Amino acid sequence: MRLKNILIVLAVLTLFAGILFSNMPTTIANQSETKNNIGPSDPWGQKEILNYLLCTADDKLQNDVKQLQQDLELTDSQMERLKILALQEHELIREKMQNRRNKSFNDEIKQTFSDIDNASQKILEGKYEDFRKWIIKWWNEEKKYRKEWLKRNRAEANGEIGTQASIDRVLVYATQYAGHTDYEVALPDKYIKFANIGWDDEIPDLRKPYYSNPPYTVNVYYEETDESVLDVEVREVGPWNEDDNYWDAADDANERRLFQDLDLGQPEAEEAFYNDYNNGENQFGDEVTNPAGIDLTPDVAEDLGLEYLENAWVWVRYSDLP
Amino acid sequence: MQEEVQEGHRPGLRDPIQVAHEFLENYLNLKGKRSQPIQTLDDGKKIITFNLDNGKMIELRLIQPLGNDKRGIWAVEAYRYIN
Repeated sequence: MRLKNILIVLAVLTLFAGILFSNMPTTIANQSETKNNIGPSDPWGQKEILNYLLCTADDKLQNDVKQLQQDLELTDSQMERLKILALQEHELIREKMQNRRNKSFNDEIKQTFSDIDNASQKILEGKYEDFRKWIIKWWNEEKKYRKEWLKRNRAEANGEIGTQASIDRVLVYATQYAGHTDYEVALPDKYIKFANIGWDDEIPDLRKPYYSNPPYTVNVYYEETDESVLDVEVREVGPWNEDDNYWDAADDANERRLFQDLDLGQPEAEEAFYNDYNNGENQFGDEVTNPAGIDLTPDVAEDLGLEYLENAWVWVRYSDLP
Repeated sequence: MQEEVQEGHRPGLRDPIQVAHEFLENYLNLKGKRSQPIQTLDDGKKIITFNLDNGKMIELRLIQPLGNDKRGIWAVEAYRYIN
């Protein structure tokens, strides 16, 4: 009789543990496990996933958004509120920072994502759990799709220009920032900024010969609208890194300074975002929350046919860069 | 500005040299070249000195208002012309 009771207790505990762990993927608490690539990864609470899904001008992602609404039977009002929340991610970060200045940056990011999580729960109500499961499934498919998509598109572009030491144009994810001027871009090589602004003395002697012919500019092309911007000056450094001249090969005379094990033309932030390269962080140890390889001012973005703060995959021609 | 950096934009704000140059050019409308190595004070503040194109010399004192590590942005706390 006593043995029977023990077995019943064990059975109840096993059932309870099963229920608990079956819900684990839908909690923020399990993020460290997913970071070690155990099982399908959950980007929720680690990346600007709402912003990426809902605010990127990309056919596949826009179809994914329609699929999300259909799969979860979300109302137009819920979708509208999710879009607003996605756009407000930056605002939420600002508000949080004002109250938590002594916490580390990564802690502040986690706090912001926690706020976004709470707001999402309110919008989605009874659909929240299904939404979290949908995001995990979608994210793991998106990562595979995007890897193949980038590989195919970049290979086609390289095929057009032939094999050479440095890459001529690359498909990269573009975000928007407030520049020093209305019309400029930022790339993650600080010496280009120094050369263009005239801070030559801040460039190490070893690198100076490669940065001695400014101004350095890029051409940006957005395939969806067939719009281009030409000869736009690089006036700022970023996004994410300062020494990731990803358009230069590891064996170039002006070699890629960091992350030489990555593919030529692949920004570090992209690999950190999709595959937790460098523990998902940039060269300073920040969590990389979007895969951006170029920053555009809103005026440049507008000329490409993008809306204010809308992200997109764009072609960037680097032939005028060191 | 810190939040911009946190979202991946303008990581140069974490470099006291870039912040000092931008302060000179954008706020004081001056140009110059750094004249001495950067000094780091006991409290972590940085002193950066420039020889200005107008023949004068200026000293900037920079702080990290939101945290003293490599991820915090820098800001100019004070400046003075020196002989």
